[in-house]
Amino acid sequence: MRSVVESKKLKVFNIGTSWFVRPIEDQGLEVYNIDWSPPVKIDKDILSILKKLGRK
Amino acid sequence: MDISEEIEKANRKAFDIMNRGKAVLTDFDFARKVIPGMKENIILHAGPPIDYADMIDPMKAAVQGALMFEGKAENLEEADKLARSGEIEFKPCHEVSSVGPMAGITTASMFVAVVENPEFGNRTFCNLHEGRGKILRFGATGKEVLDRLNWMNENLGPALKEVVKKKPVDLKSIAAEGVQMGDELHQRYRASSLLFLSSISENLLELPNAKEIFKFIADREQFFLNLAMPAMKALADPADGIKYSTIVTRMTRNGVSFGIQVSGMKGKWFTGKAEVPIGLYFTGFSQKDAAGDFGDSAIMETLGLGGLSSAAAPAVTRFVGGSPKDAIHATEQGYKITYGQSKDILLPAMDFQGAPLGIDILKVNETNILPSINTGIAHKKAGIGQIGGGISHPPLKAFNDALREYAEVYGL
Repeated sequence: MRSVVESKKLKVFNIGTSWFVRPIEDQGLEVYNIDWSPPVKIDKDILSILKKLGRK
Repeated sequence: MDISEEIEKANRKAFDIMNRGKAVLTDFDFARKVIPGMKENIILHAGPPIDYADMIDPMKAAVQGALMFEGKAENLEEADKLARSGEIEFKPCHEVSSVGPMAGITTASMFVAVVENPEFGNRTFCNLHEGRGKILRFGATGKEVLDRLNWMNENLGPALKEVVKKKPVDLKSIAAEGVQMGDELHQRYRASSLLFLSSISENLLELPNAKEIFKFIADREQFFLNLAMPAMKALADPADGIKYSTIVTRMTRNGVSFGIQVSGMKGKWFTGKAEVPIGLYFTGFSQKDAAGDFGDSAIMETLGLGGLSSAAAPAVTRFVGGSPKDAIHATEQGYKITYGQSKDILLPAMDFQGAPLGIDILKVNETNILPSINTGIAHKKAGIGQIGGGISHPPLKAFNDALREYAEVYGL
């Protein structure tokens, strides 16, 4: 299969799901993965408890 | 120490207990002889507590079949009447150190496996594996089902008792090796079932009925399921009841509700609606035919196996739907909601990291990531049996409610 990335000098930043990292790595490129996901919707009372525990 | 430090200390303790424990198969015997408090009028079921009238059809049918097996009813109608009469006491398997796959129905006269955790001195129990197709645990109740159960009681159980009395079997080691060989230990048990058979073969082959016992086990690729489940429960139970701990010690479902328990709030169930699993269905069936998720087998995920160790078993992804990348993703998600990694169960596809271990309700609540559970899918009508395999999740509500209760209990 022809590589979708022609230049070996590319450096890739992947934001979010790590699924996309491996195929790029498989093509010999350097990938920086930033573990990010959209903010989670949390009920107010749950958020309040988590805050009391210093977790949010 | 402030509460965050107390929680960290307690969770470290719960995690270490789960990690350090051992699970050794030491005996097989009648449930009434070994399960604490087991009586003739008690029927154990999978999942959190549920009344007979509220059970899904396959579980009700399994109760009826079990009453016929016990000789307490001549037919399904009589059994149904007896089950509704108030003379039978229904209890979750989990509340008497036991587990049971799918319906989980266990009665006094059934042979059960006895597993010991010598590190902590506790014992756990599970009924014997029937196989696939028309079987009691999916709510089948015909003559062939009852004949098989009787054969298992008269032949399989006593034979296995003799064999493991001579040489107990280290189930945790088999689980660890099975994971190295492509099992994730919920949907796929091919390697570990064969490893178990190999481990008992020397003593098994000395028995006069060795051939039929050997064939029965060899023909059942999930035979290890009913041994791995009490093994994982044996590892989990000593981690229960640790003050301040937010680690989950039980996850189970009865087809109507999914329940969890948390170490620092011993004995309290937190429940929500049981999902209908999403997955691949056998020809002729679809999701509309499926029962709500049921069985105590989520004890495997509670200890980081099954869905949380999906990366170990790329072959399973073809059965439950998805790809090997999905399997790795499920395990990565597992790491985000667990305290640490198993020191013994290592995942080759994750660069030999340990299986995610110690689901933490705080992490689930702050990420909304739910543990992925690999499961069989049963038909909602009794007796048809398995119609597919797939993935389900616990309800977020159970984790939300657990945290709310935790805040009450510990004065947050």
